[in-house]
Amino acid sequence: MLNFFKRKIKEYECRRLTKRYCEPDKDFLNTCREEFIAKVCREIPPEKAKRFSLVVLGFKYSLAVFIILVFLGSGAAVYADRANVDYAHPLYSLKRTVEAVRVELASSQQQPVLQTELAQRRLDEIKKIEADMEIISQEVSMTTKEVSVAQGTATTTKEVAASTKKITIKKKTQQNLEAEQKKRQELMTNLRNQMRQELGSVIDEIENKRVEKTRMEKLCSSVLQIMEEDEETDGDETEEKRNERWNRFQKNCGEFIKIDWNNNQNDKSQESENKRN
Amino acid sequence: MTDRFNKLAHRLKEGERKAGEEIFDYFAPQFFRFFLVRTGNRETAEDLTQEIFLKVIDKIGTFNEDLGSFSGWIWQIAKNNVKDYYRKKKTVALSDFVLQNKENSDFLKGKNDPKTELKMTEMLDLIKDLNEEEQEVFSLRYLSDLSYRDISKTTKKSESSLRVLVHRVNKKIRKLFNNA
Repeated sequence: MLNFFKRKIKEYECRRLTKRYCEPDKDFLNTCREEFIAKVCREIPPEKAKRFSLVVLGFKYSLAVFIILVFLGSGAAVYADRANVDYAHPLYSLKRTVEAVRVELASSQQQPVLQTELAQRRLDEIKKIEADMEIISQEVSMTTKEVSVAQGTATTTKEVAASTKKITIKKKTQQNLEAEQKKRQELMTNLRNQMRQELGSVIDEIENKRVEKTRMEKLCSSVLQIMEEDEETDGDETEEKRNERWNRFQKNCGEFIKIDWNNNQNDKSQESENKRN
Repeated sequence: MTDRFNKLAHRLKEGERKAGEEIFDYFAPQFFRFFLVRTGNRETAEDLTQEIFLKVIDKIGTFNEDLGSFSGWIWQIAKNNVKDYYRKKKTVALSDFVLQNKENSDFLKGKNDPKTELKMTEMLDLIKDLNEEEQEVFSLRYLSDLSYRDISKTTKKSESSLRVLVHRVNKKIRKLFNNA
């Protein structure tokens, strides 16, 4: 019995010693723990940080896209304005926006010059539309003729069927052309109104003596050139308004340039009478 | 146990430092003892222990809670680590286990009873003679004081077969003391 207990004590003692021997060194455990935790922090970023970094990444990408879009947009806007794109160009509306911004940002002395330049641009656009409309009206008259010819020449049933088909197509083309013509007419009226508005603003500036005297002559002659070329009386402007504008212009620019508006008026009335005759 | 460590593993996956600390504090001493018993060398055991925790971080993304417990998964890595070690080294002198380490020889030759000292040497020789399974169970049951339930989750063996194994190891140890 005693031996049994002795053996048990020895067994326990030996087990305790083995355990003690097999205990890891504390310094080793501390170093190892530090290394492990450092790797955890380094290689597994916390979920919140991941989410945050995703947000940052998304923000970075959207910022990059935004900057690219701004860059492209501003490039296109500058191109549209510098190249003075045509009214049929896809960047035309962008050009108009840039022009509006330019007017807003221009200094009070620069504004009349810029507005005159814009009025000149509108006049050029109107001329372009007029030229295009002439072509369209020629096309319309040709189509009308072709339709009437097609209607007159058909005799047999087959020919009648073929000509009917032809007539339908031609009529459709004619309708499209007419619609196009109408559209351009509206645009032209709109442009003319804007041109006159710009001219009105320039005359206001001259009237209020906001333009330097050294620039006056050049500005007045530019405005005169545009006003002379603007022969039509379409748009929202009435004859009275037109005369009033001319009178104001003559009154303010008369001392700088020679304005022969009355003669112009007489010439025009003669021309119209000749046309009537 | 399973739920606790699975939750910790989940938190570790999300990069929670505290979960990593808890896992380390629980498993590191066990792994060290296991590696010491298996390799017989303190330095090797330390290297392997360090290595395994670095591997855990690399592989934590592949751990699937639905496929099993975290302790089973981490112990599998430990066992594979030992296998890799043997594959590389092929032969390991188990005499290292006792006397090559200064600390160890001090420990054995210090104020301890010479008879106990001798028994200790015999004990370590006995460990050397145990087979792989027995060494594993010895390190977990005798040195880490784990319950049969916990060992069964770790070793993926039934509790009854573990009891048989432990009984076999006990018998060998008893034999050692009976001879004294």
